[in-house]
Amino acid sequence: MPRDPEALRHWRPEPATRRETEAMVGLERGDFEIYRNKMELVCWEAYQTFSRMGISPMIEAGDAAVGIYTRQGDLAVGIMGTQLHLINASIGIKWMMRWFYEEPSVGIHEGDMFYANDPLYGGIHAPDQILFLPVFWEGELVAWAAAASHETETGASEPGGNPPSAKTRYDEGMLLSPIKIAENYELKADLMEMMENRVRDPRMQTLDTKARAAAVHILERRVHEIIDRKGVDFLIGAMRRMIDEGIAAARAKLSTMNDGTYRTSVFLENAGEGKYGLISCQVEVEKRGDEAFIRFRGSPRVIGGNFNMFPHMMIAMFACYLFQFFFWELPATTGYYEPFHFEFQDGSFFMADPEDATSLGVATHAQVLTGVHVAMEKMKFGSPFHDHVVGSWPGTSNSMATAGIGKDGMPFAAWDQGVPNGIGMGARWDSDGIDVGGFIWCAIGEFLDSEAIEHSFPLLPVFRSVFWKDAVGYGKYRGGRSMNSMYQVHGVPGVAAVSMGGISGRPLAPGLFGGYPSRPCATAFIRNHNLDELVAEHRTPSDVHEAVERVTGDWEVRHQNSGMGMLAEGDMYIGVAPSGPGYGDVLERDPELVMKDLREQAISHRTAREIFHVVYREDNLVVDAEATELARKEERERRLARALPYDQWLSGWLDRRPPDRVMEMYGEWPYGMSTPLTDWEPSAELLDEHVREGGAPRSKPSRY
Amino acid sequence: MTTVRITEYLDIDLDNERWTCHVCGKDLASARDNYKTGLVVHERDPKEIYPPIYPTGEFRLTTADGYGLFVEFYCPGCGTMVENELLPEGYPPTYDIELDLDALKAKYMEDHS
Repeated sequence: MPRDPEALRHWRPEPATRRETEAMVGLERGDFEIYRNKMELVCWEAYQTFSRMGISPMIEAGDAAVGIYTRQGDLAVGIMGTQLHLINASIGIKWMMRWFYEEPSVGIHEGDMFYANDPLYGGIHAPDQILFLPVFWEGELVAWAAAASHETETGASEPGGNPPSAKTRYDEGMLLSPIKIAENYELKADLMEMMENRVRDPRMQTLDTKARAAAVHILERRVHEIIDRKGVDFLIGAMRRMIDEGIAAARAKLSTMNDGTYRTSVFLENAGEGKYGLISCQVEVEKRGDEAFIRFRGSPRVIGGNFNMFPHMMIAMFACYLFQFFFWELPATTGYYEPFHFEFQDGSFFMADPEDATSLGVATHAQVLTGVHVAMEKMKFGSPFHDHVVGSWPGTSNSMATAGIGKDGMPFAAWDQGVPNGIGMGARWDSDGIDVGGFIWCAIGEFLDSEAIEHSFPLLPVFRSVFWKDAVGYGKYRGGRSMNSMYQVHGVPGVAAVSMGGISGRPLAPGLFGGYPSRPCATAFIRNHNLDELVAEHRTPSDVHEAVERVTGDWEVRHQNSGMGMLAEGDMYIGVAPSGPGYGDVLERDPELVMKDLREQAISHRTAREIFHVVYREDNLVVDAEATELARKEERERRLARALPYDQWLSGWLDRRPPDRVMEMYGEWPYGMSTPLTDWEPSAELLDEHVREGGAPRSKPSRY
Repeated sequence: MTTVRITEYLDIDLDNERWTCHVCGKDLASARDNYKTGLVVHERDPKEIYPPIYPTGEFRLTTADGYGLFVEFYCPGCGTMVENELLPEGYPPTYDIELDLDALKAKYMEDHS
């Protein structure tokens, strides 16, 4: 079976077919807009059904995506949620059209459903699983529907789906090239059994697969209703026009931006469990006219690490910036991608070997995306869209998977998605970042109730639905606040706990225009502690600061990507979500907003005085405006007194180096590596004309 | 004079091809060069801004030792912090905004003609 690297290059919309072009001619203005809106609403309907039926915490929290695709596999319309899946599902459809459409032993028929998650076939990583349904009308394949979300268990070497210790793809559990899991709308028991048999939580695998199936059935039913009312040519023409309008909108918006090159230096700080140290990535966005070239340099592939990935993973992740922040005003379509080009260095962690583990490539692409985001927002500031400038998400999330036998005697492997979804957004050009905004992959994910966590897992949140003080990126506008949490294992003898994917050595996303980045994250296991005494004394800690002050016992502070440990009943762990980076100079923050921060316990008095330089009375939070103005003037004078002219400072700075202990994975100093850039454009047509233009499958022998 | 705002704190004077401070108007650097060359610079230990929270361990909810220093860029005229970067020691500051000045001049001077 061919893995077909060419298919992985077909993230861009395919050229319109003759059928699509002709069908567009008949579209009437008004009708098209109404039905574009209808199709977006149809996607929302399917999404809501999906998130209500699924039981994995990520699906329950709404971290999911559904989309409607053309026959060729291009996204016509999709919705918020995990937007990257809207793009990588497209690659999966294109692969199936190329290899299954005329494969007699498989074929693509009405009532079929397909399932896949392998990155080598367009997937992201093993947990991100997609169900596809081809939509037929009177025997002709006219569209596709897809539903995707993340499973918190894949049968990998560690529970949780993102094994931090994975060294090759064979440590990552169930990786599926596209398989036909249903015929005549009926799931096949043999393949469902296979999937259940390969994971630690078979109930979740099956129920979530059915939730995906329900979502695509809604899409199919609604698409059929549209065809029934308007005709099949209307559907085909409307889908293509959605893409073409996306292309036109993308080019029009880009053309308003100032030509030039915008760069961000991003530094990762781990490549898997125990592999801690710096890795650089120089992100470059060169914008010319109505096109943009996005380049990634300087990030050597880490052999035996699992932060490697494939170019299509980074390109799909770009959707999470593009659809959330650059084209927020129109429904998501693959058309927006058309004027963008991507280039990667040979030998970089973007160019993994097919044998590599890539399970935490999602952490890499999220962190690198913050660099793209910052570069693009700097470009946006100088454009007519400057009043939509928003700082980046802080980067990857931090998850603590727990696994074992639950209170109900059933196996489980999952995590509290409230922590990843409890991330603060970056500050905006005119206001603070949104508190608990979601997470970088999904801006609409929910922060699940604590009761849901207690019900689903053998965990008691000691504190959870509380903001993390002094964690935001400071600035004229501060980043959005995030959650911090502490849990106690209860009701079971113990659980396996897997810290995965996070950042602990340094914050990742830069602030904008002098705003600071936020704090990095780290977890802690606490054993043999005094929580019972604290509860009896009514001194139960309510955030991580109080936990550090009050909880005595055996603390084990861990990197956020430190892999699996065991916690016994009564043991506790702390999880924190990253806050948003800041915007602008801290000395420009309105002193009354600083007092509001104090009232809301977003910051401490130390921060108010020593970072924001506000003079006020601590007992009533009344600002002394005159004294504050003087304090800030003095701080500006101190800045100028201690700073050096650029050239003078640079001559000493460039002679210095980070310590060797953080440089093992870094590569060449200072830019990591110097291999050539390779573009990631299609190099050949994927489908021949007969298949592209709607031809029926021709008689061919099976490849086997 | 044709001045175009480029960032929160930076303008470009197109007539003279210079970066200038949006807050105080200070002339900073050639607009064909990195604006940072016209700023003054100070390094800070990230723990000054974000003191550690966990009392022990390498990873204490602040930038760990060896993983970078804040490099703060101030306007030499008014002391406004125009930009900061958390850079590994010795890493060259990023040339983050390299505009096509000729295209910019053509765009804005045409608009204002």
